[in-house]
Amino acid sequence: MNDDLLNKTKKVKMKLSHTTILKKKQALLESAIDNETILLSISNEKYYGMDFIASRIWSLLDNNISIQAIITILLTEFKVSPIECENDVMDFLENLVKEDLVTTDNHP
Amino acid sequence: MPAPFIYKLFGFTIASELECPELLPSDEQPEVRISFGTIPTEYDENNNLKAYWKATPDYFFFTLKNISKFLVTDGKNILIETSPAAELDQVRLFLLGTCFGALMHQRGLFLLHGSSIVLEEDCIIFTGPVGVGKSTIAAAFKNKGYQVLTDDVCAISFSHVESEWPMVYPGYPQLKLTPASLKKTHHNINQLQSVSSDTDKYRLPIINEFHTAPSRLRAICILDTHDVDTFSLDMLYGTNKFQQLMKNIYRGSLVNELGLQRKYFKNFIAINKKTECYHFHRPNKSFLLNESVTFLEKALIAV
Repeated sequence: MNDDLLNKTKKVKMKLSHTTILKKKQALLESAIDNETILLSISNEKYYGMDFIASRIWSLLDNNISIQAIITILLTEFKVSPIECENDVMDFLENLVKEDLVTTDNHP
Repeated sequence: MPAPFIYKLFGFTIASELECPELLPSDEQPEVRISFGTIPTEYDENNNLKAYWKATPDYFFFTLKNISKFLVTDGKNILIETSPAAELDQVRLFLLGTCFGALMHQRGLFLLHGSSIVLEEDCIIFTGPVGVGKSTIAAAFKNKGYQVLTDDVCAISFSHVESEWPMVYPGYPQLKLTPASLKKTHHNINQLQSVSSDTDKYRLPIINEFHTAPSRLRAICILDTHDVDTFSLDMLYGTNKFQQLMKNIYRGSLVNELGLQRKYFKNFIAINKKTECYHFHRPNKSFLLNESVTFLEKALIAV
């Protein structure tokens, strides 16, 4: 009975918090193209494209910093309100999790 | 067993048991073999469909009922099993188009659906949706004195000698044109062979104007139409460039099935280093062929 509960808990979607540190998954090919980025996920065999701002967030993931740190850096680089920045960054990162392109420290 | 016919196509030397009069002969050592035989029945999984194909990382199988079955393996061998009712014209159409395309995919070439003409030392590719005028534009450039490298399938690879530059290889020495396009480009339809009973296109052989050596790919031009009366040429960048090119891959649906996503990704990055990509729009009301050619000539050669 206890095992059942444990399994169910593991399957709940990882909710992202400001302190979460996300890492790019290794089974990926990526390339900068002009000011944008193209990706191929080896695991799901899909191509992805990222615009200028998304590419910037994606490249910040190489630094092993928290989501809060990413938001703070973007606020210094782009003219955007803190609430909008936070919402957009969270949306984007949640998409990356959904598409299995990133992982957290706890779930490699 | 009669000796096979030897041809040169897209840089490959082919030994073929099926005669293909539209191809150029060669006396080099063959590296691709096209032969007749029996294909094991387990490849034909769906006997009820009129036309059926299956691609895996190991093979490409294609069948048209009452015409033939084809099995393409290792980028080296094409096995054809024909039925008594087969018209050789149709067999060759699918052999040299879809099946040879699959063979080149297996060899890791980057294939675009379109035509290619030679500008000075380098070449450009015209690609775009079906019916937009890729072959017609090539025919018009040919009339202006430019040489033609290929029509319908553009095979891009990297040579050992010029490893930085994507190279386009000489394809079919012909243009496939509709009666309307033949008229627009002042070609006589008499004595021209029909491509097949399924389509209204005719084969226009290219003899003197066929370019027989691989050529550096300077630019790719995606042809398109729009609602306004002007011509426009925009350079493509970034993810848009990637998306547009991937949309125009020859038999693009084979890429995933053959397990070639990685190869295509890497090839795109290499092509992107040297080759510009443009999106051309002409008015959709009428073709305006001469004006299109003049516009493209100025815009692409001036670069």
